[in-house]
Amino acid sequence: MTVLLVAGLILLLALNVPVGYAMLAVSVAYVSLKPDLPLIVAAQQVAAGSDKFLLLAIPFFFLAAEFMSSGGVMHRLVNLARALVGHMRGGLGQMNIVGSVFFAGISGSAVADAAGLGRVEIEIMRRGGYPTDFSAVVTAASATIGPIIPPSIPLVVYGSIAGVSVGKLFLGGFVPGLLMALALMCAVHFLSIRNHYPRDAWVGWPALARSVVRSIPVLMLPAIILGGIFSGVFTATESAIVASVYAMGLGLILRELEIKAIPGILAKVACDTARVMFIVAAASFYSWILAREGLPGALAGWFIGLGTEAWTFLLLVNLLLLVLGTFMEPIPIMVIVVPALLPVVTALGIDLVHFGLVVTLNLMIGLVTPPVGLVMYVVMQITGLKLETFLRALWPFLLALLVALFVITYIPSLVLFLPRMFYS
Amino acid sequence: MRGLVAAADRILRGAAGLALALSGGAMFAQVIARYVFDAPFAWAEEFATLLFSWIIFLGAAAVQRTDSHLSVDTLRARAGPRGQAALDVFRRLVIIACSAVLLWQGVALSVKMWPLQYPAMDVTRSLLYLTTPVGAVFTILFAIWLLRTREPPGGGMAMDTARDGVSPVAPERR
Repeated sequence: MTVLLVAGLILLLALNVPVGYAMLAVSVAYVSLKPDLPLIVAAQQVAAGSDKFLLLAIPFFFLAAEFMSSGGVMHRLVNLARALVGHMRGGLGQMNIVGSVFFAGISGSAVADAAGLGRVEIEIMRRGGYPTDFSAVVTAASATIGPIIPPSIPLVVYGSIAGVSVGKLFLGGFVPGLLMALALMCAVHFLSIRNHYPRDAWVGWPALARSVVRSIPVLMLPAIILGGIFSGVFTATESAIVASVYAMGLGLILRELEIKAIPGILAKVACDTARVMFIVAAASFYSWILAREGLPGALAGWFIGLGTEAWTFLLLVNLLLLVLGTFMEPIPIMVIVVPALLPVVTALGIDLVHFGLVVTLNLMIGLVTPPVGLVMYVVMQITGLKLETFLRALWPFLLALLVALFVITYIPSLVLFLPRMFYS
Repeated sequence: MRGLVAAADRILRGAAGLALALSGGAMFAQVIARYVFDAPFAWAEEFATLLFSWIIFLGAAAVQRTDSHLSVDTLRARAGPRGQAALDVFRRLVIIACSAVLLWQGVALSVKMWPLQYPAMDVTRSLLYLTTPVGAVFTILFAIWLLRTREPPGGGMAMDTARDGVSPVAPERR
């Protein structure tokens, strides 16, 4: 029966049935074959899958980033990044990465980073005389930092599946995010030396200070989100709501946002939220059935029977997710795979916060690889690059991200020391 | 039918956006009440979570208007025009079948759960269970419309935003 459930899902997914409906269809078919299960559990499970206060953070993290996604706000962040690292070799490439780190503190979605900030960064790099393929791949690769440095949509979803505190996951994301940035900056550095990319003159301390001051209102947003959660003043959901109210106020004050644009933004965010959450709701039904069939427990028994150790298990999970990530989006993979693996993770003594960051970082790499990679497509759409050109330029950055993933996978304390410091 | 579909689309998007604003407003008022007036109200969290379910299922129905729920289109991209048309029909029939089950069972569940109440808001919990059948009605309407017009499925995130003129690819809104 379990085999049919998994094979049926794969078949429907391959036939281009939307992820949420594929899970619903398989689950409904299962329930109608079981005489002891009334079909009403379908309605009950799907409604219950949406009835989650914690996940209410998702639309408001989307909303805050949307209010902040105007050109003017982006330019403040990019100018600060340029003042900081523009004087390094290949300075605008470095600016691109540092800008993404700043924006990662505002947005929890890699696609939003690539689409909003990416366009601004690519234009600046074009004017600076950088080749388009280089700008495109730096933008795509650095956008993957967005959901690792808090706030983060995938980490909120993971927290709700695994029953882990979102505050701990958010704290655990800092070091991996900065490590990714460091790895990408090394790649930019070596390529810039080889290709003789230019550098800006050092802007001087007064100019840097001016950029910092101009960015303070924007950088208050991550301060509100993180400060609020870590000090215990707000829950994760409340912090997301306070952040979107702040972002809306700031947008209106800075005249970057018009009141008449707000209803359209609300409808867009509601639809984007529904795309993610419909899958989460359907998945809670599907994984309830898998659990009823005993799949997670059987997987755990199988791995432990084989004498699997934590490091081999993590290696296998990473390989599996990298493969799945090439043809599926992160959230669907997460809601399908993670519930089945959780008992194994616990049995092998792997920390759930650590595992969450490994999974999320891994799935972000899938966003820049074909055939299905939303970030890759967004960047190709902005630049008009062909897939082959994009891929030829991507590999040094892909390698850098894989190195970061490897380090995060095998040195858990890099993820865990911040949460342990705050939550001891 | 065209007018009905267009009106349903506008209403759904408006209602989902309004539900988002109301749930944010209630939670924000709750935070203010707790820290400024030291008088939190218990119903805000229930109210916001209930609205969240409405955002999800009304929004999911609105997304069906462009058929842009996330899907794996690797195989479809390699199929010929007739293969693609067949896959699109199949996809929409599966969506209609699932929605029909949610409509029928969702109504049954709402009737059954009517006596249950939210503890703080003092209203029936069926307001939660009605989200799936209401969303399903609109989803079925849109899916039938798409079967008739044979519009290809939308391209995920980009599609919805292009319709709003708030494309993620063009952040400068003005």
